[in-house]
Amino acid sequence: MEWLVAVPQFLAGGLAIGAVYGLIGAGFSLIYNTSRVINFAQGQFVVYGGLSAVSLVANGIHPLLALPIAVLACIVLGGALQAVLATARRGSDELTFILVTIGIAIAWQGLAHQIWGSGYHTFSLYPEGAAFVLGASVSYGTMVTLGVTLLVCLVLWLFLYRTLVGKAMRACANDPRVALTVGIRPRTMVLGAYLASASLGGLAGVLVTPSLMMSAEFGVLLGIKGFTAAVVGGLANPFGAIVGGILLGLFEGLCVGLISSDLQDAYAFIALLAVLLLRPQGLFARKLPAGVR
Amino acid sequence: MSALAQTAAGRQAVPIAILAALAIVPLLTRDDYLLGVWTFILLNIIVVVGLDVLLGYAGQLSLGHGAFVAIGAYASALLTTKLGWSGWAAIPVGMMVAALVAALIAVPTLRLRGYYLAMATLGFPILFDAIIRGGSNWSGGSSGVTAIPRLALGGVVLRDPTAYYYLVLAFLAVVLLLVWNLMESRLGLRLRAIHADEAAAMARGIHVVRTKIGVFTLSAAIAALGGSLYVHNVQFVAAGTFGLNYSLMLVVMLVAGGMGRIWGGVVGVIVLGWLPELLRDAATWQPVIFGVLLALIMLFSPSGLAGLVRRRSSFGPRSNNHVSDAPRHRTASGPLLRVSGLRKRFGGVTAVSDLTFDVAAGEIRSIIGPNGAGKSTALALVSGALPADAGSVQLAGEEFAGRPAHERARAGLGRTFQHARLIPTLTVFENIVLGASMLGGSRRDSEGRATCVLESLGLGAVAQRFPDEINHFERRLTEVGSALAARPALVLLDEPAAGLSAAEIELLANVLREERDRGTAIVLVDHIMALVMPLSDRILVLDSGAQIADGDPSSVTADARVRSAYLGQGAAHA
Repeated sequence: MEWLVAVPQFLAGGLAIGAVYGLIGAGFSLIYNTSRVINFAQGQFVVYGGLSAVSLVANGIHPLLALPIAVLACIVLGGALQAVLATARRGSDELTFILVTIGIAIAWQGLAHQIWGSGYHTFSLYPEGAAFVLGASVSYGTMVTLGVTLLVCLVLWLFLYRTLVGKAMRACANDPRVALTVGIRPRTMVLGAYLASASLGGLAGVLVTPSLMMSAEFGVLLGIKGFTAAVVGGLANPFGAIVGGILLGLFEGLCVGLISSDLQDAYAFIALLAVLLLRPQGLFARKLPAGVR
Repeated sequence: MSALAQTAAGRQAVPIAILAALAIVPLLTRDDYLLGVWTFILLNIIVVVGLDVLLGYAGQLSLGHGAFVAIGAYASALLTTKLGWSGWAAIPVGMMVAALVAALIAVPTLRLRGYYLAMATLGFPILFDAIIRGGSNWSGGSSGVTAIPRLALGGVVLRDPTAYYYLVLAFLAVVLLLVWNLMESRLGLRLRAIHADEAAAMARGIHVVRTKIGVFTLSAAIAALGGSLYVHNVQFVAAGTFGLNYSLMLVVMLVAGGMGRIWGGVVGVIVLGWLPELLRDAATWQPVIFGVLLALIMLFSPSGLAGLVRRRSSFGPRSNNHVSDAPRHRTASGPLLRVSGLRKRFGGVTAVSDLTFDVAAGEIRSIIGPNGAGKSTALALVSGALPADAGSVQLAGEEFAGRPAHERARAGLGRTFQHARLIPTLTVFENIVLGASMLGGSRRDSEGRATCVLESLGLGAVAQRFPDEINHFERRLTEVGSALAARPALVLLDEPAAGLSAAEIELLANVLREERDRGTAIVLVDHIMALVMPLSDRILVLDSGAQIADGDPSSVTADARVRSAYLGQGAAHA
């Protein structure tokens, strides 16, 4: 029963990374909702956010100033990605978009490798130390990461449900053609979704790098885990994705603690297959939305 | 008989030409290093040909095919070095393991949309890599497995690069001819149908999920063969040998050469296979170059090099006197189709409520009603394209409620869609063969049946054209033909006359009359009264999802509720 005592600590180990998976997953949801595209380059925003912050801090910029600059850099990448995808022929199929975004993801990953090398990087952002919560020591970094993620949820909710632009985006997600008839430009909404997704990814990267380090090689892997988070949460629901991400992080922490850390990166894959097999509509949706079969 | 042999040999012309061209390569170079590169190109051709079946034909994307190559490589490496097996015994084991793993990934993902398989296959190599690195005491981890034995043939160990080149070429010949013939068969048509439109494929009786899973496992087994042949030549494999960059390179080579054409992938590998050699000094830039190349090709030339050459169909009209054109009668007492209590709600909207009707063999039964009355939904529920909330659909006494669309199609329930859903990548004749292939039998049987349909519809002149090269009426007829080619007991037609001229409607009416006279039951949904009224034996009227009248044409037109639904409240009293 000794291992039982360690469970809270294993769970605590997965909290911060889970929040990061959630933020990546929410990015998948936002883009999927407005354009029915799965952006395979989503994980790259995290890498570029985290590593830009590393470079900025290394050049003497205060971490708190580096954060918005790094997020801004990701927003530029997001805009560029959308501009490239917008050149696709009308009526291009799902396969085209998958292949274009995966091509860009690999190119970006290679580019990050050129810029930052293959090593691990970090910078310090959080105060040292930890607090004891329910029998587990939770670092301040984890607390800040969770706190910011909750704040992001709140801002995202206010944006989607309380602002005109957010409502337009939801209308567009529901039916782009009907949205067009009431004066909403789906193209603009899609661009907005890419910018928002990129900023969520960039923010996740800046948040996670100080506690768990970042490497140019992480992008594809983080993308898969973020996608898993989104699938757990129901793909179309950004808030479900954040909850899904935290659940995935806890699951990973538990598996690493109880089974083995050798397979750390494989647990998410197993979780993905299990969810697709048992509950492809996600944990929270009652039924598959139309078109998602 | 000699003519048949000729066409059969003629069909193999492309793969034979490829193999012949590759066979002269060793005659042109004495350089062992260059020959080694060419051997690697042959191995990649094997893998890419297998990938094309999955990606080019069936339209399913594997971003981690390198992992299946690695499974073959490790099966050969470990079974020969650790257990002392012969390489020849290890190869099929590797292929079977790869197929099994592919099936495990396929079952949860291939029921769903395409990006799930793409994401899962992107993730699988990570799991595989973790297992190899984690099990370094048996797998060698990142330092790898060395001294893997070479293959021997008749007691002679194949050390000579030229000999090994020809061995790989022999394997390629088997794979290429097998895959080529499969893809030129009716299976190729089914895969293209799945790629283009899964709902339309199901309506043609194709078990979409099972077919996709089968193709994925075949593709993975072929990839594993490539991996085995690789390690028996290089004699070394380590974690990461066939990583993400390798998998991506396979996709780029296929896409650049042209998906869905077999020879396109071959050309892609030969052209781009040299790129890693050219980039040796800038190897770290390779992912950037391949990534950008992939994005550019997909954005600006998604059909690749092969897209420059029009595909020529190997299916053609042929005379065949042995084919029946009578509907597949299902023997049962009572009506052919009996629908009762069928119900469907979308959120708060009741699209169809308590729909009950029957159709007899050799009857034209029309369903009419204002826009939004639930007609198309009703057809979707009967055909199984949409699951019903409640109710029963019996065909010749057999219950089909809750069973998928392809099973209903196979049982003799044909259909067309509201907006003609032909397979755009198949010719007119192939679209009709696709329908006929549901009947089983030989390829000649299907071609013969399709030829009968083609001629009875007057489509002979456009048989070898693609759907975007013919007019709207011809597309409609082709879709009707594709449904009728399966000799359905009953066919559901969703607005076949929409957009047709008066003369074309008359031609269509004649086709339907002939079909009814053969004993086929027809359920016709349409707004065009010029078609419905003279043709129908009985008419069912829907309004707001409920049936408001049912009877022969004259009684239905006289019904006050029908007049009110169509013309407004006042008209009923006028």
